Amino acid sequence: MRISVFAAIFFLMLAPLGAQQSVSLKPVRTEEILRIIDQARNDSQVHVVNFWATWCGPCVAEMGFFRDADSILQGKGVTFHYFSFDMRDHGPKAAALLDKKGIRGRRYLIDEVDADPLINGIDTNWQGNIPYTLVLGKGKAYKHSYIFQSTAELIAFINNIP
Amino acid sequence: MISNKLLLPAAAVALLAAASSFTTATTGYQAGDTAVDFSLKNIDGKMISLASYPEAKGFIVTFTCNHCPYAVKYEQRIIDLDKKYKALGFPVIAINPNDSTVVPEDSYGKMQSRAKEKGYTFPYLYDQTQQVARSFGAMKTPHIYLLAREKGKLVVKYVGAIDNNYEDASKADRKFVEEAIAEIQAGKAVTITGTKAVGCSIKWKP
Repeated sequence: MRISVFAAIFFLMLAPLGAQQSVSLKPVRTEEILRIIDQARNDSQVHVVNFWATWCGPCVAEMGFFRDADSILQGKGVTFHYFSFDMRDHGPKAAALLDKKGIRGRRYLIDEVDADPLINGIDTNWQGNIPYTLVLGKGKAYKHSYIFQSTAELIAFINNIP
Repeated sequence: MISNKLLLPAAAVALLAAASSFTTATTGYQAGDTAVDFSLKNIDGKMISLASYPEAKGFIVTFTCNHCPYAVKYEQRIIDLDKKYKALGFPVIAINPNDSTVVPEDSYGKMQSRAKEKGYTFPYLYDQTQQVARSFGAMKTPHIYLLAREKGKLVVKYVGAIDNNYEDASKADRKFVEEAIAEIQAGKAVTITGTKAVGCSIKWKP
């Protein structure tokens, strides 16, 4: 009995630690990603969709702007989605980096070895270079295929869809 | 200056469709274009141009670099392409377009040591001014441009990825560069003239 009480206390102590554990990225395939983007475009609210990877220096460099923009836009009905082009066995590494950068939002790992159908499905003029960011909603879609230089620049981009 | 805010046509999102209303012209080479020769410094210090290979039937021009994990994943495949196709008249010409002040790992000195370490059998050229990458329209590494000589001109036949599995060459069921060369050798039109793949964006000079 005594042991089980200790065990219960022990697990209660662990629980908050568990809650802080990294939420792993959801593996998604091309069809699902295209569906998410299509739904986002037709949604009445605004969606920011960022393609990134841990190995992409500019992507990591601009993550802080995304975190800050997300905070500033809290309550404005803007949903952030992050699709990682990390290699398929690097999901935990990508999740850890997003945690470190304080990134919330919806986090995915692209589960494809051939990105051609995905890249062309999103934008026939996109060569697959990242960072690559979309803002979608209300039937509209805008793209930004370079690194953002500031949170203000990112917010101005998001505000393309008022 | 390329506009950074562009309206996507509805059809281009979530559907592969002809985006004729999309007004951004894709700059750089596409299949059917004629490539302009260039002159770049090789890792041995010598200047190399495509005219340095009068006997070549074509070239596998490969924008690549040291630092990018996708370039690393494809490095052995680039070496293997050169080993197989140089003798058939299609040598690999590798070009590093990255600004080494942005990525020190892609400096000329690091290119030399990497090529030596990995036993590159092809020239590894340094596009220090990034003019060649810009004229080709290369956006990322790795990024392949297959050229074939036709009536004295170098015609772009294919732009894109080497194959359709970055993870594992043995699991790729489409080998786009090899398929295109086979078609050229057979005197046929190239079926797949372009593919998209993930890569590291070229690190342009600030």
